[in-house]
Amino acid sequence: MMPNSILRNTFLWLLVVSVLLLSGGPIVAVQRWDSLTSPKPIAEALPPDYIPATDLCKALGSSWNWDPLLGRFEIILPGEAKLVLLVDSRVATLGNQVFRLSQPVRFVQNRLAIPRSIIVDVLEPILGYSIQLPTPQPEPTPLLSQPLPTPAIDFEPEISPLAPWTAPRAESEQSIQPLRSSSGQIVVVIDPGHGGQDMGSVGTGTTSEAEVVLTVAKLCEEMIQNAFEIDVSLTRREQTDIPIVDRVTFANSSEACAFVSLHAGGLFDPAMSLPSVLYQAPPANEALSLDSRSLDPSSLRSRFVPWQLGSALWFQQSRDLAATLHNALKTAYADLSGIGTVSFEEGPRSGRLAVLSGLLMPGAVVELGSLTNVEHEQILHSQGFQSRIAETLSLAVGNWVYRQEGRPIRESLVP
Amino acid sequence: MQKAILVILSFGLIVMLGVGISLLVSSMRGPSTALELPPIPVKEEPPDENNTFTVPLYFLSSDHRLLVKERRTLVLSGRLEDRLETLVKALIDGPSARNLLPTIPEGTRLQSLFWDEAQKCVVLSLSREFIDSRPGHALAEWASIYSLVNTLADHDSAIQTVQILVEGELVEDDLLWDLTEPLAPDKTFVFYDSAESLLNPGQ
Repeated sequence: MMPNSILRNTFLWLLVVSVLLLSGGPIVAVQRWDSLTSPKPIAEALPPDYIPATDLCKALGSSWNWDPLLGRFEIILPGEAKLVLLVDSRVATLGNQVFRLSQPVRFVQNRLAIPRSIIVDVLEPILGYSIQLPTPQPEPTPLLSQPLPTPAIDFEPEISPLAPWTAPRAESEQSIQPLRSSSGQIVVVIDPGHGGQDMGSVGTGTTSEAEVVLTVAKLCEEMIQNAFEIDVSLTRREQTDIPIVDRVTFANSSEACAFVSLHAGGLFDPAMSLPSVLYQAPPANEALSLDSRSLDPSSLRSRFVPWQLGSALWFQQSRDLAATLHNALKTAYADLSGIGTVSFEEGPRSGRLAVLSGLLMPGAVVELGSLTNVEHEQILHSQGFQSRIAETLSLAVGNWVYRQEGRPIRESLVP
Repeated sequence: MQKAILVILSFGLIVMLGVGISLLVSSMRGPSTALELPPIPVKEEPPDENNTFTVPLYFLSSDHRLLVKERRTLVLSGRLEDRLETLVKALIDGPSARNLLPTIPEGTRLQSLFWDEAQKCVVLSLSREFIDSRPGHALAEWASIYSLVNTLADHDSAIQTVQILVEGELVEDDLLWDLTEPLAPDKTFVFYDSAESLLNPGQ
């Protein structure tokens, strides 16, 4: 018979060993098992134009807040100002200031990635000093991703302009629009929207969009032709309805160097007016982008080009034209205070627009104002404002074309 | 009795020692580097017993520049098509919040809706009012189109594109926006529902 004390001591030691095994032991065991069985997760490298949100905050010396439910990331800047970013959004806000980022904020492998351009476009102007990012740790290049030696080729393959459906082009590689038509003229096409049975928006005072834009288009035609060495063609001169496809085809066959479609549509809030400019977004399907390096732009005029590729070829020039017209609109409205709510966006917007699809030239849609707003209907109907807006648009279009040709721009329409 | 208390105290001490050691081991492993931020949660809240979902619907901000999510509690049941029809009808009915604007032209009706699983595309047909009653501005068309596309795509991650038809036909000549092909969601100009206070800080 064992004494009670030995039995108790043995029990206690067994208890100690079992508890230790149950608590610390399994953790070590799991760690070892993990290291043997599951490889470390391969971290997906961020695209070069993105930076991890945490790296940015470290560089700024800022703290941050993260709301996973709303996908909202706040960077606390000096003075407790909060720069708010949202996942999948290109919009950043600081108080009541709204900034548009060049690319959306994204999630990559559970890391919040912020477009690098935010530093130059948003943060440095706000903070007033340059921001140095921490040096990234170099990542070893996997063997398979190393470039293979280029085989020597002793022939120049014949490349059809329409054959290579390749990745989208860098902006610097954008094709250059031939400015002059085959007859040596510089032609701009202005498209007064709607017409015929389709009157577009109609204000309470029965002013119709089709009438207003036709008047402004005719004024632009006269002003541009008088002040610049540019021919202007209108897609319609009467109140006739022309299909969108025919408008685009007319511009293509005119061998124009720019296309401007005029509108004055209403908004869901009739009290508002939102003069805007839009240009064609590149195709969503990247495979539809054409490799410009193999393009002779003038050859496009005599070849078949898939309809939706048309305007995508001149994405960068379209954006530039749209930005020029956007500034012109702001100038036209600059002195018109006390006429209700006029709102402007920071710049032109891109979108998939039917009237710009298939264009073989840069193009933009201009919304002159909102006819559903009573005050704006009166303004858009007045000859004074129609002349004023035609002047600013004409000067903008003429100078944009001259800039493309490297010619000196004009300060006014008066010679 | 004293011996029993001693045994219990010893046992408690041993358990605390074990826990302490396990914490020490786990802290030595260092912080996890794989996870910097928690993942994005599922956008829709799970249904309760009555198939009630809290879903985001996209409406227009008062300044007409952004689409804003309004969270709405809806009863969604049955096939995917049925659930999507409920969402489109809720969009047509307009926002509940007074500072948001509707996005679908007045009088528009949903005629039919079809889920093309092979193409991952929702095809829906709206009545003629979608064109005839539209305000006309390019950005009003943008709001109508992308409130529909974004709302439907948010409901089920399988939905990749939305094809909008009017009276069962492709819209080729009546709108500024190009509806001849299915559209993928675009959230470039979208604010989450808390963004209203950012846009109108004084309100």
